[in-house]
Amino acid sequence: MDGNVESLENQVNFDTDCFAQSLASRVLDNAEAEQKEKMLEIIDLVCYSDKTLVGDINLKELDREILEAAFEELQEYQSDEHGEEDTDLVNEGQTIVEINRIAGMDIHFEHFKPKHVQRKTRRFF
Amino acid sequence: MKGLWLTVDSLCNYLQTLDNLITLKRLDEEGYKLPSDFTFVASTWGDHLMEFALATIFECTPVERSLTRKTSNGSYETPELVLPLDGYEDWWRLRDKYPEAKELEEDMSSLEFDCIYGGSGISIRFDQDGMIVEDVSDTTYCHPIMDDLFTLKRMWIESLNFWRGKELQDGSNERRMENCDSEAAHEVSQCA
Repeated sequence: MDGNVESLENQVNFDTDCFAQSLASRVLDNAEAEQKEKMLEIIDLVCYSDKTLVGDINLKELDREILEAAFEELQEYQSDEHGEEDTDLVNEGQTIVEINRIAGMDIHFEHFKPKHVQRKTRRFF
Repeated sequence: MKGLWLTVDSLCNYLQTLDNLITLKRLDEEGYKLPSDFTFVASTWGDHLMEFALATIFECTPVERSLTRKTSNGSYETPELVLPLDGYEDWWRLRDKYPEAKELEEDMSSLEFDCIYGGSGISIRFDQDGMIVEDVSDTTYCHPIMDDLFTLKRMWIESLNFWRGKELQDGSNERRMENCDSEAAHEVSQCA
């Protein structure tokens, strides 16, 4: 009996090393963090900023690869007005979705989405 | 922190603005000088920088004109841009003088200018007024074709310089031949 309890304890023993490794794997390294930050800057410039003229920005500071990545992101973004069931899934992971989530806007957006048409019960004859 | 509700219209405008920024970045990387008072933000869909990019790369002012096309359903007009390139008169003369030069026009016209994000790309042809750029309005984004535009510029400069050089070389050869002929005639007359 004691032996069984001991083996059970061993089984559920919390592996702190494994947990630490798992956490560490989710932390962005410096290069990744820098890329994310630049992406946010570009999204901010395009979608939020009041800057409109070439003279307002420093083109040399903008990273072409990240500009293109931002373009790809928006290209794949499914517009919020569609209100389709899978819109959130399609947009999951997008920088704008993350910004909205941080701002708590995703909760407000739920009110704007059209109510989904109730599905009719399928009948099999 | 602000949030964004993206409609189809706003998405299109942001994409166009990003297209403008990438296009301007490419021009800046290639060393072209950009005016600081130039607006990069797109205000409407289709508001891309194609004409500006063409004017900057080819250092001329594109002239818009309409081309009438005839089909079985009648005729319709499409806009096209004429690029009055520096040295184009020379080119038009040289291509008549050297028919092989026309092959280079075909090479330049065969560049794909393919927009990977949908829509058809521009196409190039040559007439006596200049290099003609067709289907600008059908092109959705400008930045995917920038590499081809830079290549076109290099091809144009190289082609023009090559055939100008060829004409100069042929001219000096002809002069040399004439001199030789006149010297030979002089010697013959002295011997006689």
